Amino acid sequence: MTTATGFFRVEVHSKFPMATRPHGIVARQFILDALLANDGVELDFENSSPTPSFADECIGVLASTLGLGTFKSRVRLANVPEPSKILIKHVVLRRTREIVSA
Amino acid sequence: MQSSTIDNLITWHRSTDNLVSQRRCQSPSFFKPYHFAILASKFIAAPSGVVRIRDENLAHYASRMHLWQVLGQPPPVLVNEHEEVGKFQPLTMITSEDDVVSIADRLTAMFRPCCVDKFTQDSIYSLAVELLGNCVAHSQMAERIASYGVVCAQVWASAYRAQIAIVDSGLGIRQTIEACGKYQDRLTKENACSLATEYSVTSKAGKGHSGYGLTLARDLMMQSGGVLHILSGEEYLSIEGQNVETGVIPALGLKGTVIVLEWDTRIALDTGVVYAQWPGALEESENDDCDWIF
Repeated sequence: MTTATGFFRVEVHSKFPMATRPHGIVARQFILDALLANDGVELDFENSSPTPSFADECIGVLASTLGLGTFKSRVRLANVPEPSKILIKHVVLRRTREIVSA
Repeated sequence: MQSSTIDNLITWHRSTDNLVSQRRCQSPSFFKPYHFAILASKFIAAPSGVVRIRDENLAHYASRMHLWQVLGQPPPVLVNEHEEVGKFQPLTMITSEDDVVSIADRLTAMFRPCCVDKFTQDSIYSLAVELLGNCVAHSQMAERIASYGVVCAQVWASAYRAQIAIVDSGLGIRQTIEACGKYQDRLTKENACSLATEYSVTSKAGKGHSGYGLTLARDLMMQSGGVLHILSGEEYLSIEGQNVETGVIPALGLKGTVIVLEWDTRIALDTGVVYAQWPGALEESENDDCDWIF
């Protein structure tokens, strides 16, 4: 589904098990494909918590792949539970810091 | 109800070695998930005859916990299978990546009635996925029965206690970490079980892994005053609340790794608090930088 602003909305919790690294890889690839055809992607977690491995592999590596600037402008996260917000900030900054120090 | 101690695990490990080598051992009077998981792992690793438990009540209970089913042996008694929610997760082999999610789902459903809030439920799910995922990522299939390890769990509702026990068929933590070549210096001086719980320590560094599983287990148990025991090779790490003990037991002869978590179900498990305390926590300015995300 594409929103009026050209953002493709993904209900992450219903589309992928938010569990292991392999699940994170599949989800990330899906998002990258969606970004090819849309202005941006809105990831709706609908109050479901990703595991650290999933968050790192899907969101952290996605931010690292896109670069923090592009990630900020083209990816939105919605309905993320409070504990997961901390985790997602953590994996995004950890992975994007890896680029800086590489 | 008393917490399981690292000595309990070591004693039972030795008892089950006797069972394999001498065909008999003293049965505990009260079986917990770690008893079943350690016993099953020994018989999965080495065919050692049919397991017999003389006490009828214990045999009935062991049958309900799928001891013989997991070993591919005929159970001495057949029991009715009732709904497991709120009681226990029978012994279950971890045979594939797909099992990680299905077992974590079942564990979470089993613990749901005793969770104090939704965050605790989510924390248990994350914990289960990370630890079971480690099992698949870092263990080898047992040769005789295709399995990366076994898991078993139980809630004692009236005692407000819960336990998850996982035993893998890997090489052990020290050998696994040594093989990656990144921590040689530290391994000469430090306890491998303790090192493995350190944030970002992983035997698969540079291969996409970040070493979250045991760190999450350690931090959640310390935060909640729970218990984490890790027994691997000849080393152990034992955490009971804020008390941390490590040690080496020469000639322990344990193959693989035993992980036991036990906690008071009246206390919340909050991954949010744990994540916020991990190294590299956000500086104020970085927090501002991230506000755009949500």
